Amino acid sequence: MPIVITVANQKGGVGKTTTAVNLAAGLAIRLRYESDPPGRVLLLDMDPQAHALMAVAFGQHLAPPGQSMAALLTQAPAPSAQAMVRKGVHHRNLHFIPGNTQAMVAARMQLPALLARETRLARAVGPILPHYQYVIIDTPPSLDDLMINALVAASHVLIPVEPSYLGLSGLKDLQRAIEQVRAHLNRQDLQVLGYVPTRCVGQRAEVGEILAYLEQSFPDLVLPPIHETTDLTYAHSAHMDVFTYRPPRSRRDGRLHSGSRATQEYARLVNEIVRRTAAARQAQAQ
Amino acid sequence: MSKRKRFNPLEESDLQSLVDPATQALEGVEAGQELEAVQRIERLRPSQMMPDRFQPRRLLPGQVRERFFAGEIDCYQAAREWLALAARDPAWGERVQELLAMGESFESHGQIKPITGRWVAGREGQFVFEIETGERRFWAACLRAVKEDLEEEPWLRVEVVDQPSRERQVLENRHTQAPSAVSQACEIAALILSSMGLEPDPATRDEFEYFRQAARARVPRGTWPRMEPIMQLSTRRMQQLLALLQLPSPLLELADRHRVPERVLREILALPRGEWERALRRAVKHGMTAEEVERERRRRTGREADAALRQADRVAFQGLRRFIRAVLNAPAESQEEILASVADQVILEGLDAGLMDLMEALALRLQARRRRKS
Repeated sequence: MPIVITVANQKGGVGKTTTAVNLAAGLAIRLRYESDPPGRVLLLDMDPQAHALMAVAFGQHLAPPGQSMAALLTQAPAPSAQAMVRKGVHHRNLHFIPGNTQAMVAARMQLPALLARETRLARAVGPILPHYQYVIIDTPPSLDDLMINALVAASHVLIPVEPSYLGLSGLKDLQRAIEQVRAHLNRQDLQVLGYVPTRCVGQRAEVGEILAYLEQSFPDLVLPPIHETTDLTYAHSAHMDVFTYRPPRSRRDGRLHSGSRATQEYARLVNEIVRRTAAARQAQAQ
Repeated sequence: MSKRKRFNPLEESDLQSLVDPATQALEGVEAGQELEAVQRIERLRPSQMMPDRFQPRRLLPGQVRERFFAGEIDCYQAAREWLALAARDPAWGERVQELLAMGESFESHGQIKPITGRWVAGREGQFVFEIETGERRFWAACLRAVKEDLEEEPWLRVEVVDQPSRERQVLENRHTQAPSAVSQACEIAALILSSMGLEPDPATRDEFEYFRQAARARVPRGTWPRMEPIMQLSTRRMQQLLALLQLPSPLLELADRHRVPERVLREILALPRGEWERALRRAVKHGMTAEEVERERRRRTGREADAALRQADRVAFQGLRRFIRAVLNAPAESQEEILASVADQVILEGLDAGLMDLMEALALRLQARRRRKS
């Protein structure tokens, strides 16, 4: 079974999508150089906007309602996820399930009335998970059923945090939701992988203080920070991940980073996540 | 200037003890665990599916089959080549017409029975729906799409089954068209191999080679009686059918394509191996029955016996003539020595008793003929 990482924070604009996309792409590049045939990464987007998918396969990221993520959540029994899986255009070992904005908005409204509403994603994608090494799930900025489905399907949660007062204030609710999922949905193994300080602006004095708060509150769980850079913004508008937008001169040995600060910071994050999940991967492989 | 107080939101409420320890955990979901009890009918396109290479009943012509399963051509290119082949070979033409008629019935009445199968990971990591039952429906849709030059791929109704089985394939085959003798032989082999847990090796180039393993295998006790209700055949009959797999693969393919009956194939197998191909082609060409093949075989073996007799006759006479001439042409004083020497050698080689009997029999026949002559 793969490492399933849900990138979650119910606050909007904290860099969930950027983190999900670049983490998925970075892992896909690493796996490509690790083995032949390369291991695969699956990116699932629970956000109705499907912005994460735009960076993976723009133009192919949307599908009719019945062949999109929304159908997996609302139809019973769920359709075959295998029939929906598509390959990314920048990395062939990065797969995704296309979205449909309107259908996903409708799904969000339907889910509260449906039976087993919190476990629908886990059930629907369960049969395809053994074919992937990593699954990355991007989530919407809300603590609704879409988010809960993403948490139930996950083995790990990665929490991007904007180092500001408001950026931290929502963490309590997220923590509570994670605990509820562990307790009520029998997911005691759901682990918080770490907190990623995102959108850091070096000049702001508050940033240093808040990072210190985080370190103090979550010892060993604060991951390397990601600074706000133009490369991240431009990569999105080019419909790419930052590793594709600013590639190194050579990918020899699976090198991720180039001279761009954004690639260096996300490469550090990818490596740290691989390190932190290595034991879990080894245990699952056995 | 006094520094404004900054609040740490993490300290504003207790993050600990958010869970009521008395809360009973509900039954949860383990990722990857298949919990669906209800099977679902879905719609897929032929390009998302792949027939089972080791399905006992073979549909695709051998020439096209190898390239299709090697991934060199897709299902529509395979259908195009099959149609071209059918235009040249009436045996294929008939089968293609049946499938095209089935494809047209989908258009007018819809596809009544879904295709069954399971999802498997393909070579490139993509998922492919491997057909368990319903390969005819699959090819019917492909052939029709090519024949009608459809712009959009057709949709086919499918049902995902967790554990496909050879038994289901065989039963499905029985419910449709009566299988050919070769198909039946493959079905029997598939059931035996499946009961022994011998799965096909995808690297096998010749699918018949997989089925032949059953003919060579020691069939576990109780296997034959278990197969009888599935095949609706007696054990003896199944064993006779299984023996057909002795034929080389190209001949099995030929016999399957022309649906040559089992009894005809058995008569052909009774011939020397070197004559199988000629006899099968003749049987196909003239639509021969088992009796006709048997008569031909007998006639042929009879003629051979006559020929063998004539050959021995000639050799014996030539040898005798050489012996007579050699002795009579020699001087009178030497003839005695020659006969003595021949007698010594005959004794030495232990041919004396046989030769004396033959000489005696020959002498009696010569006397009778001389009497008749006088």
